[in-house]
Amino acid sequence: MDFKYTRFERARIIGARALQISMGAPILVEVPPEMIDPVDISMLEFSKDLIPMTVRRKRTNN
Amino acid sequence: MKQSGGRSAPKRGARKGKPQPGPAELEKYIERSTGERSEMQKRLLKILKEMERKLPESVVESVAERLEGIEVRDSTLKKILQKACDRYEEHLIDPNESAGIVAAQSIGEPGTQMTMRTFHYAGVAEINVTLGLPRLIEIVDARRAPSTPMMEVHLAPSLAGDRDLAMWVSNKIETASLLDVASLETDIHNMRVHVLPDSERMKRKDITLQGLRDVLAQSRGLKDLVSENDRDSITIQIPDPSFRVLHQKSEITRDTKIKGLDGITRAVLRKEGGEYVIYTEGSNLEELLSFDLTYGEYLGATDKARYTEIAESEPARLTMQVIDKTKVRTNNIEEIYSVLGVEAARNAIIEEASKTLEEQGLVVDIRHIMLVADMMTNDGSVKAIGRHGISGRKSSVLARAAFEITSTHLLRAAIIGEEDMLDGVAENIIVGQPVTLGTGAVNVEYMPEKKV
Repeated sequence: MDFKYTRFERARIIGARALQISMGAPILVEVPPEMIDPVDISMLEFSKDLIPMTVRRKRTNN
Repeated sequence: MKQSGGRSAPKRGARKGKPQPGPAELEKYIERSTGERSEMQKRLLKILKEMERKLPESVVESVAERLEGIEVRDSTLKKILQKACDRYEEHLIDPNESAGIVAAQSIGEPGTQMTMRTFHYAGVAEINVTLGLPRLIEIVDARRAPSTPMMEVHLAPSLAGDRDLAMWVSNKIETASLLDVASLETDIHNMRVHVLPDSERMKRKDITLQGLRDVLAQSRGLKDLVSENDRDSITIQIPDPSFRVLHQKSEITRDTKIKGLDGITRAVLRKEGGEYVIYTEGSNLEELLSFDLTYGEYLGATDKARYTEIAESEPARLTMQVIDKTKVRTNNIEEIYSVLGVEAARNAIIEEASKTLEEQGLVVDIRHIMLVADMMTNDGSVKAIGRHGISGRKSSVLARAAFEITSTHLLRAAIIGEEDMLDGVAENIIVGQPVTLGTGAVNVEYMPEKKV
């Protein structure tokens, strides 16, 4: 299944996750010690498909 | 959501003066509407199905057109389609993209660079056409009639090179009032109006004295008053002496239309690549499309010898329409709407708007203009953008209040107890919520466990 997030969905998920991380949520990836920015961490998690979030779409074509 | 206007409008458009497309165009049209596909199209669609990808029919059609007559293997076709699909998907916009705002800005910014008052003369013939910003405003405002209505009339392809024929046709189309061919004299003493035709001008307009008399005799208010004089003039006798009646009759006589189509004040010829094209000032699409002019009529009026010659050799040519009705153009969008229907009006809006912008050297992607045209026509009638059109008819109170006369809208909504579903952008900004566009339209959900 080639499910693809739109750029808005990607931004929203990364943003929501970054907020969690910034408030102290446990991180789900190995992070290099110099990486501090929650957004960076969130993006790293997103790229590894580890964020426990998805998106509810109103209408879909596929 | 179903809109009632959408059903009735096309019917209204098709009432009368239906255009008759030429045989070639007709065939092409039928082929399209019945979904007749070419061999190549069928092949492409089959491969697409195997690939489990989708392309719109029109894209497949244009790909097929390019490949027509070229020997290609299926594997190559597959590659081509792969590429086409990739390109197509690349160009799709994401859901929740604010396409309307992008379109508005993309038209608005170049609009600021347009000259405010430009009037342009089309070609040698000094036909005045409104262009630039005034024209764009006209289109978007959906005005009843453009300030400079104009038509473009093409002749049937096989006859287009004939200058005399084109002259003859343009003479037939152009309105001529009595004053164009004759002068008027009011005889107070005998209570008469004399019409004194100018033989030179009569000849140029191809009108005979007899013809002039007939037209006058048929016009309202002049019945039974018209009599022909021996000395090449027409007299209108008022039965009872009255200055008021005399004045009135003289006015009627002066304004009588002798020939031509209503509204078309001038017609000029222009040669375009070996073809003569008639440009007219003023527009009357409905009458022009139902205006019958055959080649036989032309020959009968000008060249009798050739008429008999052709009548013997190829009689079919005599009944041929001189005007190519599939190529008639007008810049009057309202007229297009009432004669040909909404879809034609939509196309006209797109074409006129992009032509206006292009003419000023501004490049605006056609899809922005298409969106505007779609918004203007999607309920089956042509609406303006602005107070009386789209913005004024928004379903949300808050959106309307945000646009204009805030207090009136709010007051009225309060009195009748209107509801606002907070669907749009403006409403949500007023209320202080994220707008339902882009990131704001995404609903994030917790997803407990990932299947590995």
